[in-house]
Amino acid sequence: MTRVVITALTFGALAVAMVLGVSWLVVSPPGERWEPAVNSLALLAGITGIFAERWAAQREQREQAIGSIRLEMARNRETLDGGEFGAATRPGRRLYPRLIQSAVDSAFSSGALSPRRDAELIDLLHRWRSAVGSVNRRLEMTETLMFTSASAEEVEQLHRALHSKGSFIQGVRALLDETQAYLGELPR
Amino acid sequence: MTASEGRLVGDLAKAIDESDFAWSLVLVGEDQRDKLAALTSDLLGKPSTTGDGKQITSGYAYWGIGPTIAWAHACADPFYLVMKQSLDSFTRRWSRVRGKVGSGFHHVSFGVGTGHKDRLVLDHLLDHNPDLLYVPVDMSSEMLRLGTQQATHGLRVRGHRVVPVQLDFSIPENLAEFRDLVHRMVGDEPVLYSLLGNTMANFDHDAELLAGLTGLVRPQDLFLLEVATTDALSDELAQDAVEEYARSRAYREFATSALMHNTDLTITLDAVRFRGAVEGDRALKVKVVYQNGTGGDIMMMLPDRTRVPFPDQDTIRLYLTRKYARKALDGVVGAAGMRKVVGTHSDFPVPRSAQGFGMDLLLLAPGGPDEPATSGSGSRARDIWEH
Repeated sequence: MTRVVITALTFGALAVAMVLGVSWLVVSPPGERWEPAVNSLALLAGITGIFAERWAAQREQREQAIGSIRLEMARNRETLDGGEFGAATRPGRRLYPRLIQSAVDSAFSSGALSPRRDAELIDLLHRWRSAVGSVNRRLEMTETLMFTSASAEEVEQLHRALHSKGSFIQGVRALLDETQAYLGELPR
Repeated sequence: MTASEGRLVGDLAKAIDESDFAWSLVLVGEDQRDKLAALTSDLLGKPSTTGDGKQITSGYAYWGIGPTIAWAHACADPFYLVMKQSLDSFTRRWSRVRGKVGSGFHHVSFGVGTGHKDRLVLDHLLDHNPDLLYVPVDMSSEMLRLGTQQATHGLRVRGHRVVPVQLDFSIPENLAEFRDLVHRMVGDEPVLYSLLGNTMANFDHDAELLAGLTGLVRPQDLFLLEVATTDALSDELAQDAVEEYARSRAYREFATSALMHNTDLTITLDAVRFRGAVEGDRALKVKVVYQNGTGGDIMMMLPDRTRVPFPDQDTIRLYLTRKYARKALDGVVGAAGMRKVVGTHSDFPVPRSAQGFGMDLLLLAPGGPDEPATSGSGSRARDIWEH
């Protein structure tokens, strides 16, 4: 509420000053118009400068957020292509690396993405967040079973299920492909 | 569902069953404008002399009434050996397999074709489940109409129990929606899914397609797969496979019909070329392409009225098919998470036809060698990681 009042007061004052400045320019004698003209132009620059600065800051914030997400996706790609998730990995008890999503979370919490301009990207990232959460939870369950109750045979079955064609991991890979392809098409 | 809605559905079912008019209730799963846009986009590919640029992907080859009629003509052509032998031998092969299908099954058929094979399957399933639901799925509503009429003609299946679905089943998102639809309709009752007529071989990513389709199968369901096979792989046999298709004029007319109906090209059947190759250790691959051999560039109009160049020697891939190595079939099936319950093979005993070419009909159940179906701990692993 306070923010709305301050904004209203600021822009109200600027608008009134602008109106007065223009009126002053109109009623001034021809030889005395320099001062009201300078005053009006200064006020106009002040008003437009506020919006220009806001626009530039938002744009910079969005570019930083998308750059961070690109880097994070590349890290996740390395993780998924790495040894623990590779087809040639030998079965056995192990801790798996997790997929990360901090840049995505940060982009959402900072409001760097515009719901109007980035609707498709936001939808894609929401799906990605959900998939990462799910795969990390499944990895926790797998590790818990592997290190507590699973026999050597079941460890092998868990390994096979994780690497199978119908594994949840394959869906996550496809979603990562889609997300990286979308990010790759955005102008840098 | 409210009482009035239930009454509406009941009245509709009654009207379809009691009318002499050939009503068919079709569920359309996709916006057809998107499909036309995709077809147009596929025809905008880069120039290629090998059929790897512009293309008409599987499904679009049968899309529309013109290609559907051309397909029906090709199937009746005695020179189109693959189809003729496939149809002729299906009765015998199905009779060897059907004993393993229990009672109470519904039938979901991907790529309905001419409907002859579905008719035989339905005839057997109806003996054990007179109230079965028959759900043919195809991208072409015209193929659905043609196929379902043949499939149900003379059988005691009631009209409202036939639910054709117009859908591109090569798209995973479509399959996810379709799975929900089927499971809502049949509940826990078993379903026999089928992919017959070597349809699987028509897709670029055939293994992924099969894995997607078998992803619908629950433990109580079965999957019937028919593929063209070869005993060996060699460049010479690939040329023999090409010969099989190249002999039939009706087949060339079918292969070019989608191009004729969706572009303004003046089609000459002499421009249809067949390219055979060995695809790794798994199949003989045959690409049917339309090649500009006029010696000059042609401008071609697409369905959205854009005009694109079709340069000299450029190709448009019209059709893709394969003959799978019989030794590779277990691997193909296993990779799709399935195991073979029973399989039959039928050779093509035709003079001049290459030795070892034939059709295999496989009845599959979920759970491949990688994932034993009966293991409790294996089931726990699947529960965690199944997509």
